[in-house]
Amino acid sequence: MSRQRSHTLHAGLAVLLATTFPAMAQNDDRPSLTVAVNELARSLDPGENTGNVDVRIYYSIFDTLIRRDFAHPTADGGAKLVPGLAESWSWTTPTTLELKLRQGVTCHDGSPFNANDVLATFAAERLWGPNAFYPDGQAYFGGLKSVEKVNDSTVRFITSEPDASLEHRLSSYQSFVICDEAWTKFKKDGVDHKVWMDEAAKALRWNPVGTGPYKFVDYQKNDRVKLEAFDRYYEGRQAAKAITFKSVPEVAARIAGLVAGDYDLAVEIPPDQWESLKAYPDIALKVVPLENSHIVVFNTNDPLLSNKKLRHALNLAIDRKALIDALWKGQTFTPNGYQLPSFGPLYDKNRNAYGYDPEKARQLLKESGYNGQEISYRLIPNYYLYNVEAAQIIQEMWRAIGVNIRIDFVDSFKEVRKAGVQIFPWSNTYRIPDPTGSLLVLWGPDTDTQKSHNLYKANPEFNVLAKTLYSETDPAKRKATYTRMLDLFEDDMAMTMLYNPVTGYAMKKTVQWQPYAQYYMDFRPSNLSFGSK
Amino acid sequence: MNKGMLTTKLVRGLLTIWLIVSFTFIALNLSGDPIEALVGDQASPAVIAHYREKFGLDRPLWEQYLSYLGNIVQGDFGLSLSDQKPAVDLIAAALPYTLRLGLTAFIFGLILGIVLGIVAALNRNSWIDRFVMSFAVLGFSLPNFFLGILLILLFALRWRVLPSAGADTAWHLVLPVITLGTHFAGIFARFTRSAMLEVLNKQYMVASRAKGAPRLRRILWHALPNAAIPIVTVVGLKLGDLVAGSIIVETVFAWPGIGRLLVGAVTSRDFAVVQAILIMVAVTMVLANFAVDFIYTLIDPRMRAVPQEGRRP
Repeated sequence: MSRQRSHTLHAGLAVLLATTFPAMAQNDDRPSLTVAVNELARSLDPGENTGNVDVRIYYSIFDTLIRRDFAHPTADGGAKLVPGLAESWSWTTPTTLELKLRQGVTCHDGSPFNANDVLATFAAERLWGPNAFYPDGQAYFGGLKSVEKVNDSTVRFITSEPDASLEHRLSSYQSFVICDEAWTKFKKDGVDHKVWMDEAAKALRWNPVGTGPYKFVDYQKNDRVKLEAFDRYYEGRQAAKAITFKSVPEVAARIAGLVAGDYDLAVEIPPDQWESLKAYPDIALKVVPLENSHIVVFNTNDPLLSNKKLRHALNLAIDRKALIDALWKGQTFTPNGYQLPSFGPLYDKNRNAYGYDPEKARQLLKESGYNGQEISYRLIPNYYLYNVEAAQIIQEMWRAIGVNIRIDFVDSFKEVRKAGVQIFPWSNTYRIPDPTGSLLVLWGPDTDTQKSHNLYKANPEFNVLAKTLYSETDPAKRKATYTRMLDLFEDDMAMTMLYNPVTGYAMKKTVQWQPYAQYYMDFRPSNLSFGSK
Repeated sequence: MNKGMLTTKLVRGLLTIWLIVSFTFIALNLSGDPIEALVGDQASPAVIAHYREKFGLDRPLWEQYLSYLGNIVQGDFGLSLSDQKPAVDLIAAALPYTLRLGLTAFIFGLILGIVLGIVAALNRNSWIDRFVMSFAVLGFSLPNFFLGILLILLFALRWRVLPSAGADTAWHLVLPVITLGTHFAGIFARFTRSAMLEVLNKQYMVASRAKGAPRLRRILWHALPNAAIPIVTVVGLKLGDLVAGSIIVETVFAWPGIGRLLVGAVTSRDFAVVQAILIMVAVTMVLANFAVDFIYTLIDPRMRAVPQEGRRP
């Protein structure tokens, strides 16, 4: 066969393939995306691991019933909820949320998605019952009474009392829907649920089966997690044919690899690298303040810090703008109260909290009767980005008004919270854009902060209102309740806000992708495309 | 090596391993709570208690220690907390990467170091000697992370001729091998030079020269074997040091070997993995020492002589 004839045959075959299997032919044209991450996920089990390193990967593998549209918040700044695996939902009684499931969705193992997958995910034994396999689930769904299947495409979530934020929780952590067949095939009659679920979780933690836009392919510890496009995804064809998350712990190596073309996107680029990236015309940097606040906790049960005037003096002596400018290049903000604009109708944009007033701080300090006693500021070095630098700067700010601070380094939160704790830095995540997923789960009446750790002696009214807020569904009443709670909480001054940390992503300019205020990395077709610079 | 010596070394080796296991167990348990590292800073005590019970960390420390020792004897090194896989499986997956990087760098460093050491010794006090020794000092003094990042900046970032990190192709091996190998080369060059200098002044070298032996033969046949004993000692020690030496280099170059595994396991206080790796390093060191002792008997006939009563060996 001549070379010319061979070429003609090959070309003919290619045309035939392209006509017969258009999707296959198109697949070859799509680029692959390589993402350099500081650390790979600890597992791809959405019930077990909800850390930043975990969710950024499995957000592409799993879907939630309801999704939060990070790219398009509502006009009032609140979080917008859009259909995910549920096409629509409504409260049919004050305690019954009925969801119509999307039809034609397929799991990565080829099985059709239906109500059984929802029941398997939200089973009491798995997620929220008193003896649930995953211990974290109760914090999100402990208020459920049951989850029922009406038919293959309809489910009901029945709560023990009205629940104003259930839809938000169904779009958040612990709500990623797993596929029933892959999970329940481990179930054995007469075997305790914790035993078979342990077997199932071990088998699936690196072989997850979801309905998301990308399907798990391969994992090599400390090297990579590889996903491939799942083109039967309900939103359509993916922009990348595969995504590989490469573990590159060193920032310098992540940046060098990005510039050299080994990676398309690099995460966790700290502020001290932002300026140097400007030298590369083909690289874009996107920074986003996170829905997480770095705070400083004051133990209100400590003999010295039980003095409210002293706590208020400490709060007023922190120049947060100086901290943000020095550490975060001015790229973030201090929340004006324990709230974010994404709280929507609950957000009070005119609230004036956590201000800087050194004169008033000095006056309050004098009135408090503080006479120079040494106060301990305990921290785990570098547990949070810049926590040591922030502690040293705050130490000087407090010294300027006459407070004597000793920084104590410890190596665990057990050590931080042990007897004698006075002040320590902490981070508080807004798990959902609502106080029931943030303030109440970390500072509310049933929290460890108030109970087992015994760090916060709350105003009794605050605790009563917290219970009301969970079940109050009228927006105006909720706002009034929360405003009063914030007044009480700020008056108690059990903590003060520093700032919301910022995370930086560097990427080739050909990659069109937007980061979100949560650590989820969304590579769905609506948020990822490739183009010219 | 006679039977008595072998038994003594074996017992000493086992004692060393037991001490390392015990010390590691105590040190890791004193260093903090592994469950806290697993669940994060906002987890409730109930969640922490759940995982402590699940991994048997709620038992008294002495009970955990005895059970751990018992399991080791049966070849069970425990389950990784973060991966929930046997620690041995994780090591088995990472070891080929470390061997590929470590042995390549070691051989590169060994050949380069010995050649440079010989060249320096033969040109004693000349500019060549000073140049080579400056390189050697620089090689073992430069911290691996500094040299590694410098090479990344030059070869990956500026000239874009080599990949910066990962282990996908043979090209990915180049920069980490140079980084790790330069360190080895520096050490071997210095030892080779001093060992060669000592030998070159011996009478048998003068005799071989007087007999008209060619220079290359004198160096390779007479000098090098006699200089080999101190070199073999250092080579043995450094061979046992391969895993420990690769920790920084593997982290800088995102090389998925034992070093990375160890760093991650220490950070997350994954006891089973840390202990299994340290035992592996200890066994490697003990075996390397055995190998050095054995090689001594091959290259030095005096070591083969059995001491007899009333006679010096």
